[in-house]
Amino acid sequence: MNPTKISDSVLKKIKTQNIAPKAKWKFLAKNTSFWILFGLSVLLSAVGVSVVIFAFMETDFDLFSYLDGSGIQRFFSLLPIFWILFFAIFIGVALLGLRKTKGGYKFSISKLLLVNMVLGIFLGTFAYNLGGAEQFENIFANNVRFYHGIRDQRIKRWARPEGGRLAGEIIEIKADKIFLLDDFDQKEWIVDAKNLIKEPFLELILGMKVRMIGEEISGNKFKAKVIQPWRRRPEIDSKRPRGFKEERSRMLTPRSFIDKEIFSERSMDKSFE
Amino acid sequence: MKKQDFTDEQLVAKSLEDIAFFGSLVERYEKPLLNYVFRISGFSLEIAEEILQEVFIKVWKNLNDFSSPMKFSSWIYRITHNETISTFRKIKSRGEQEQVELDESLFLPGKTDFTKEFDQKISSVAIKKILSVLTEKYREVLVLRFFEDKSYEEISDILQIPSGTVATLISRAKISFRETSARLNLNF
Repeated sequence: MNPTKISDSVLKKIKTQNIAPKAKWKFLAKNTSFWILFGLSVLLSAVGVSVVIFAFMETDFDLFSYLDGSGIQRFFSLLPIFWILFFAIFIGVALLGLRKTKGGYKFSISKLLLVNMVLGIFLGTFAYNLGGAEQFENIFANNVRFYHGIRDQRIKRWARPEGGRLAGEIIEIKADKIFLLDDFDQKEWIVDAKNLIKEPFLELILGMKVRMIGEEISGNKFKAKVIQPWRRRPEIDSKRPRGFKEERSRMLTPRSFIDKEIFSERSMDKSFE
Repeated sequence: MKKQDFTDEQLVAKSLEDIAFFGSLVERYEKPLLNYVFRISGFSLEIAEEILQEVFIKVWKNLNDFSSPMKFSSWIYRITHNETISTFRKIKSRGEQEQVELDESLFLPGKTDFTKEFDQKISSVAIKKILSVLTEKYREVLVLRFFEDKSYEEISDILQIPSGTVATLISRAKISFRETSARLNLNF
């Protein structure tokens, strides 16, 4: 073969077809778009992580044994599958984006996956601590038709008095371990807490939201066996009053449910007698 | 300064100003790339030349995409590799057979001595025969390492895989090469 044969034909083709090199900005734009894809995907995976943490914080693992179904069913019913998938999908897209950048091939899939996951988890935890998770979740709950909010699902799970689960707000405390409760459908219940099998880890006070395991006695009467606060941890509230720390430490200390100071001036409710 | 004295990277920069410099790049690479296409594909001269023409046109179109620290030779080998594999698959999907009997001289190992690597002597005839039956991924790395004298880093840039994967592939390819030579009674 003549060594100049190919070069001659290549140069001829370039000249006759007027082929020009593509502009540098096009390559820059292409590479940048992969970096943007990577960045956005990592941020979205972080959203997923923050809501997964939020969902776990909202999940009643402590009352796991009282829920319906087999162990596996109960476990999966409590997992935030949607958000775990959301996280996994965007970790995958971030991986793809990073791999497509210039030089992205130099790193093994496992290394890239690890980097993406660490970034997603770090940013997600940060977003959760800033209170972003609940807001992200609300945006989804309000705008995505098929999606039911974590809070709504939890309320639904605890609005089953016939199944032994009831939740709501204490609206009046009566003597002898009895109080009135407004459930999330604004229905009033008389709760008997005389036969608790587990002492609550908090002091029950007026206005507190609680969830209970027990038994429905009749239309508006509920016999509680276990009482827990509705929130599994205190609200993170920038406007919280002074002394919040003291209140929190008190909540973590096992106390007798019946506080004589609270009940002493209340009248006895005879509804359960 | 003569065109031959320019480095690849200098020629690339000059090519964007004057197409004549691109001609020098083509002349510099057409022979080694033609051999590379032969070694990994076994195509006839006619098809190999068509592939190369397409490669150089792509190189010209994407010249602004080339940037250091990657070596220009790695970049052009990558384009050649991709174009060859693409043609290979197209031909295969059409059920055609375009492979020809290659010259044994193509399989005389380069500076990275095959004999030293395998601790035994082996003829270029046997190498050619064994390579022709190895899987595509093993043939590629062995050709790049032992006949094109590419470093692990360069092979990583050409095949767009991590350097660690290159090392693993070469190691497995050598095992496969030995096993194939034993199976074909081409013990060396």
